[in-house]
Amino acid sequence: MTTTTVPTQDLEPRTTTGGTDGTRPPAGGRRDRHVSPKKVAGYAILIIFAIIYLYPFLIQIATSFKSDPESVAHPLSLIPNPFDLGAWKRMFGLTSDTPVPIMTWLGNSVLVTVIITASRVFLDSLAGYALSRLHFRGRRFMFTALLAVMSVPGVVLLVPKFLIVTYLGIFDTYTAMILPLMVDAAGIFIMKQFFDSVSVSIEEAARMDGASVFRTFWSVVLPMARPSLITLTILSFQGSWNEFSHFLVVTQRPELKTMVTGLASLTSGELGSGTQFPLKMGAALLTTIPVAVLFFAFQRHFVRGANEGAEKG
Amino acid sequence: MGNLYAYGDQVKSSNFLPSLVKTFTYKNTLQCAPKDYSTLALAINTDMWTAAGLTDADIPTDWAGLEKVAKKLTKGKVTGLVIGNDINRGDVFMKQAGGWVVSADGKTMTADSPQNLAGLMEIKKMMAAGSMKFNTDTKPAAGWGGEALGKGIGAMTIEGNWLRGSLTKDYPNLKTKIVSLPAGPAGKATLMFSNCWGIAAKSTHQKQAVDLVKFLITVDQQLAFAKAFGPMPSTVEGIAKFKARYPQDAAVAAGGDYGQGPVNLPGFDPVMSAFSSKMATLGKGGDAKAMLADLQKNGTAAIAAG
Amino acid sequence: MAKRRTNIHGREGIAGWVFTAPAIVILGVFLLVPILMALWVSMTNWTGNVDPFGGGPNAAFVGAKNYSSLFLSDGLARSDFMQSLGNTFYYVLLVVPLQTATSLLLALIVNDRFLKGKSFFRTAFYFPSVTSSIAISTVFLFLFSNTGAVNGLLKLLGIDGPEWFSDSRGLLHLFFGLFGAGENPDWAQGQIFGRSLWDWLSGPSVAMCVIIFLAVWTTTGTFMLMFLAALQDLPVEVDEAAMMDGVSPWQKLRLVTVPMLKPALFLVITLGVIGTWQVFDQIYVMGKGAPAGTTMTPAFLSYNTSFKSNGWGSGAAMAFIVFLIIVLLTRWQRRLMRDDKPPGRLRKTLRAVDLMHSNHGTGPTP
Repeated sequence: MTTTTVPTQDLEPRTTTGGTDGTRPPAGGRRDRHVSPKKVAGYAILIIFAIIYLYPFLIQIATSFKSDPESVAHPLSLIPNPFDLGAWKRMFGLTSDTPVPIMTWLGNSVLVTVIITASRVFLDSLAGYALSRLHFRGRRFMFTALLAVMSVPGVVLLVPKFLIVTYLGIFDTYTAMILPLMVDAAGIFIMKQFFDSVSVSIEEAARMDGASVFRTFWSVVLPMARPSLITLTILSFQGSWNEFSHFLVVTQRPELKTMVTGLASLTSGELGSGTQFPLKMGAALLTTIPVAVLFFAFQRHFVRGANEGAEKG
Repeated sequence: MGNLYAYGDQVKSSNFLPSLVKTFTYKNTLQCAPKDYSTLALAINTDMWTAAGLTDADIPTDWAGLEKVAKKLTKGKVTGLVIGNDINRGDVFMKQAGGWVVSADGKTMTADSPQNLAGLMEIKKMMAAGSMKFNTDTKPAAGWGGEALGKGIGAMTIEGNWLRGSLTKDYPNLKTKIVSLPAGPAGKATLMFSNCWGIAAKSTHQKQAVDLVKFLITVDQQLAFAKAFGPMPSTVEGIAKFKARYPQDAAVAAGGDYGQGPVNLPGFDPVMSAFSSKMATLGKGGDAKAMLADLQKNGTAAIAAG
Repeated sequence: MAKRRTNIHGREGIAGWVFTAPAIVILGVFLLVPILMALWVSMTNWTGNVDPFGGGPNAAFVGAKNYSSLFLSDGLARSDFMQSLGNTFYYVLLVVPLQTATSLLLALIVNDRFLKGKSFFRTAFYFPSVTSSIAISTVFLFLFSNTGAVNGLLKLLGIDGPEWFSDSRGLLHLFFGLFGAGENPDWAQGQIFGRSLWDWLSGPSVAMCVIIFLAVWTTTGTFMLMFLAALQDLPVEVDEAAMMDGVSPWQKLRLVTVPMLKPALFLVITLGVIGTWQVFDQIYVMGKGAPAGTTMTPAFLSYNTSFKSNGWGSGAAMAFIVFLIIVLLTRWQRRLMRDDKPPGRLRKTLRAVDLMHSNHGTGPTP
């Protein structure tokens, strides 16, 4: 995911500044008790867009509870009639129809995401701290190289990843899925930016007291980085759960499919699925739920993550 | 090429159908043992057929007949004939008109011949009349011709042996009849699909693999496959037994005598795939002449490179 | 720079290397080295089943042939590549302005201090950006299917919706058709890179429009947040000075707000352009280039050529060409947006702000 640098902002409304109440000239409609047409238009636009943005998800949920013919006959309705659990039963292997290996996919996704997220949080903050605070030879060069690597677009990396993974003999293994993603340049950048903002005196104090570099990092500085760490955790979770092209390129066996690659093969017809929409909607829903839950719980951090991070170009 | 171990001469004595041997021969060597084959035939929903007032006498034997019955069967939401939107269905019209993608020896492209154009124009004609549609253009869309037939989206479809097994499983209440495809201006033609038992050139167990193949191509084994999955035995003896055992599939079995296999030349995958992709637009104003010209151009380049 | 030899910094040196070692190893081995490997492969005719660095007939060095044949040799590789470039050209032309304008519009409305439900709207608009592109594409496959929600909606309005995913007709072609231009008219037969002018002028196909809509729908939320952050940064005094000047709201938007949003605008457009050249996931799920190659993108073509047709050299060459295009485009765009002087009205307003400060002191009066 590309991210940008814009100063961190808390997006709650700011309080009025400039001038005292009473001396500010009333400006068009804002202090009116009556609803201005501009406001109505504004709300109308927002509501229409909100419907456009939310309706697909509502349809997705509703369709997963419809029967195949019903999903085709009444595509717009949000109330399944009849209410049909067929798609969900198939996904969890509770019927005799050809099973869809959702449990395998789910297990792989969880495994891969947890390992990658934990690893990224640890390794990115280590490297970010070093680039920010530690003076060592080659630091400048390393930072420039980091920026260069970050600017390579994803499309260019498909063939290279396949080449190296095959060359190292780890093609089609969990190692190939996890190892290359254990560190990401954008995460290092986020942590470095945070550490840059920490006052040096705290560390100097700890260091003067005889603490080793690692100790200073682990016990003194890192606890202060909680907000950035949470942001990094969330971004890493989202990035690795939703990852597609990397897994597509380095694996082949059906046993290694994650929710995302599995869903892609289901949707593009590889499992002979014809036009079974409720099943596909259900699988897509399962793929979306974990990140959605995370999103609603930690909205603030997602929003901050969209603003912080790597500078492009 | 170079990925397969060519063991063809070790199994030549099994007496395969000549057309199959031809399909799997490259540079004068039989690469592998043909496993089975399937041909395309016309599948009809008999309930809709009789409801439209049609009888056995109306079973189409030429293009004019096909146009007539398809039109009669197109009613309301039902389209008379729904076929798959790729070369593995559309090309049959080209063959029936007397043309084909390449010459018989595989050395020259014959894509832009007037016969091929006539075949594609027939498809366009029926689509313009509304009596034929690709499976992606129906409302609702179907995943393949069999689904269109099963769900009553189309009254007829063109599919292969696998249709029967699939219908029994997914649409057991559907009553169908399978007949030979109507002949085109140049006579009877259908498409034939087969697989062969491929042994990897890099394999370290080639002898055991060949022994296994020899077992799998015995008549009994092949008939067992036919019973379970549908495709027909690849040996002369096997197919004779098949015809005796399953007279209702006589139409598909007969197709083996005049069936045309897909284009198997090296480097042709992207060429055929591009042509297939364009063929899917025939119902929506696709330019038949231009797509054949492109096929000719790309195919010639591929033959020159290969 | 003087080298300090105190204990602390000596330890730091080692620690620095140790801390960054995992990152260096992983990024180096799995990003840097592979890119160089792919660069090598792009200059060979490797077909995939032998060692690419071992030479021999299946991995022979062919120099720049893979690159030049994508532009100069008559054949399928070039026509596919040119078609993908053409598709992306229309895609960028539509997606970037639409997503920039929409996200700016939404940001401006949501930014209003007195708006109720700000947090709800922000969440609603940003949510699609967070979900997996594969999951979203699956949902859109259903929404735009022949009997899907969109056609259902059109039916309510009395319109017979098209078969979205199998319709390869270009919008511009349909537009020309309104004026009587037939199919493949004679005036458009000139060839550019092996493709007729008529083909280049096709516009996005109906199927491509679905993907365009999907792209705008997904990215608007992220860009809206960036604009919101930038809007929050705008000093309120400028707003009020403009008000005092008697500027109408529309003029204020055009002459004050938008110019001050320049950095954010630049960022959004740059990210937008970079993103539009990398469309892959959606194409994989929504037809792999069908119908008739009108949704083929260079990124997917590169993947398909390499992994499915074993044309690794050509596929890798395509990827590097796209890389180059992206770099050139962002450079060019940076130059475009850099040296503009703020327009007259804005200068006047900024001067008013200066005056306000000098009159009232440097901050809000208690």
